Amino acid sequence: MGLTCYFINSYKSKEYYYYQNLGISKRMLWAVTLTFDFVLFIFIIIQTYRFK
Amino acid sequence: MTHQLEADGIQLQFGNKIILSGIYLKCTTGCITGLLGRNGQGKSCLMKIIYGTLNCEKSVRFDGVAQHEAFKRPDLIRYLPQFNFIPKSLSLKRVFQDFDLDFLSFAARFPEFESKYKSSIGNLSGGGHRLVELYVIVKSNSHFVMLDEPFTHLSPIQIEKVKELLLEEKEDKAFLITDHMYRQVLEICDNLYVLSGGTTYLVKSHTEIQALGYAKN
Repeated sequence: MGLTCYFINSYKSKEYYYYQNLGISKRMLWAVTLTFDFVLFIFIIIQTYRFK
Repeated sequence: MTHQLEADGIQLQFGNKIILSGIYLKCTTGCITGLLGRNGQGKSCLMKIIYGTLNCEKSVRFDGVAQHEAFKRPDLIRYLPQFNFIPKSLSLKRVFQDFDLDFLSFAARFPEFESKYKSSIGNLSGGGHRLVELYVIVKSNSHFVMLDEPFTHLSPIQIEKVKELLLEEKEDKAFLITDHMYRQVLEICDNLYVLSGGTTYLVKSHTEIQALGYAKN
């Protein structure tokens, strides 16, 4: 997880300015992305359990 | 309405090397402020400090009110960094929608983009990519605009059109521009600072620019 964040921060660092110019902070981007990832993870786990 | 940006009390150092100290810079609505300086003098750092993405000891005030994280207020200030910042996968349509701008006005000014509405940014030439970035930042609704090397990659005709655009937009905005094509900057700026030895100097003549070691003749 830490490595993923580090690499994304490295190769996407220039693109943060696009979102900042639209009023979206880095923190907001990370919060939305990680929440979506977590919800997707839970959803897939539940689906896997149901169809097991 | 006139707005004013002031930056001073900035202390930036990397290790033992002092990069910025003794800075004073003021930008006012209706004015284009130029910022010149040799490579490594801290021009881009100064812009990032004003924008709030580089932390250090500072006092940055918008209409007299301190603002440490200006990047959270796009209605107040927008920033064109010196590198390409729009994700290449986005289409021009999406970019213009995001910045709430009219593509037809852009295409009328730069007809070479008329057929590119649905193209992705990554499919544009280097100059085209830069021009789109510059245009959306300049035209967006904001009181202050900082442009770091806006003329890089642009053709002479595009530079002339961009200068016209800046002169139109400065009626209700304040611009801070830095670029090594300093003659282009000199032509349009109302105030000019030279950054030398970590300090800003407000200059009035080409002789002063030479004396500060930025340019010859």
